[in-house]
Amino acid sequence: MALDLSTRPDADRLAHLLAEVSRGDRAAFRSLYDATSPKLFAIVLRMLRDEGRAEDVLQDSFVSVWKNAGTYDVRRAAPMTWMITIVRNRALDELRRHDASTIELDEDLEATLVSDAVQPVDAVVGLVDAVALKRCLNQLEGGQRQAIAFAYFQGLTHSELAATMRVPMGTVKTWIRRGVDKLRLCLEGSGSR
Amino acid sequence: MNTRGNDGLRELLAAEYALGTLRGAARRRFETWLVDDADLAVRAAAWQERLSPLMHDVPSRRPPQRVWDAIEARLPGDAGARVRPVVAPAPSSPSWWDRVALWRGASAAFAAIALFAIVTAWKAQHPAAPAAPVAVAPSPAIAVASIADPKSGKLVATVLQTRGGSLVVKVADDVDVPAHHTLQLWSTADGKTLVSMGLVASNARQQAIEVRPGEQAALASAVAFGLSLEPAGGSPQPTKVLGLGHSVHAPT
Repeated sequence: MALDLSTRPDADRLAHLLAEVSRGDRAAFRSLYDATSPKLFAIVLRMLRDEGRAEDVLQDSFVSVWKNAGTYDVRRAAPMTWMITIVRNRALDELRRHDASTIELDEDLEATLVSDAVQPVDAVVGLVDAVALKRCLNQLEGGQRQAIAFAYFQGLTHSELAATMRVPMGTVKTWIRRGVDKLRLCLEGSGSR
Repeated sequence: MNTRGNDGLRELLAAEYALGTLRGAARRRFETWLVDDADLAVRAAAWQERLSPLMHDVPSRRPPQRVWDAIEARLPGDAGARVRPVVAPAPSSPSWWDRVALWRGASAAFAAIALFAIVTAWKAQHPAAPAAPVAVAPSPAIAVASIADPKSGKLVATVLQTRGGSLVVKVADDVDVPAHHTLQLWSTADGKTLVSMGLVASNARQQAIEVRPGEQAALASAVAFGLSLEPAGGSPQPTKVLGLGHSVHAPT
């Protein structure tokens, strides 16, 4: 199940910086922060919707990156994916303190997922993957696609999804199970992953 | 729940872990599995890769300066300055001095241990050839002194007295010598009268001092050494004594 991550120059640079960080190089850590924190901050903000908590999560995440850079394995994941995983895990932990009654589903999400809007130029990196994923998401049923998207963007649990989408929990679980299965097959079939 | 042999379930758990729908106790449990289940870890990483482009369109946002300041404040102090200790490449014929880790406490006992270690290391480097009439030069060290701050016990320098009548001095890294100052080495036979042995450059890794013929007698009868801080050029009398140490003689 090998993933070919060798073709992206940005990934090489980040992997190199991570290796230097693992040796205690603070200048490299600063470079890594400058290169990745805007994207990571945006991701955390999207999930938490609270600037203060997002700043805390970002801070904790980067301290974790500093301490654990030595565990990063370039064969396992792309550097940015590794860092996204770190911030997402912390954001999901933070969401445990979320009051479920205040959840608002992001109604614009469906629209963005299926849109063909032209991407800004600086988002060329990762564009191929984003387009492939969008195309595969579009092949899912509405409920499958939305459950997956709300879960990923807003960090919702099965019961929170059931409550906000107004369907039984079993339906949510089925949507997700069938949705991820179809996604994987679609992505593997498209020569992606 | 044993998922072995159930690829479908493992794949789903990995996907839900990446998606975020796996939470609470189930999430913690999954994370413990990841530690030693390589196949599961690969599946989870693959799902992180598959899903991360979902965030591709989210506009980046530079975090406020205070976030970086807070991160920097939490990094271990001086992590950049103090790199993991690099083992210096061994010179072609490593000095027996370099083989001995002397930078510990300071007491006559330590000096004796250090001396023993030096002699042992030297002998290890110069094993007597069996049945060969080649004379092995005797260990060059005849005495060592650990110079320490009398109040704190902190090691200031180590002095090795060699058979040839010279001294080798190694000053501790954290000895602070302000500009326009120097260190000066003294010996004493009675603990009262200090005789200057020479100046010591503070940043020398180790420094050999050739003791002048006029001081050789004093050196031979030295029972202790001292290190002082002086204005550049030295001083006839010690100004500020940084430490003293008894001289321990090697067994003959």
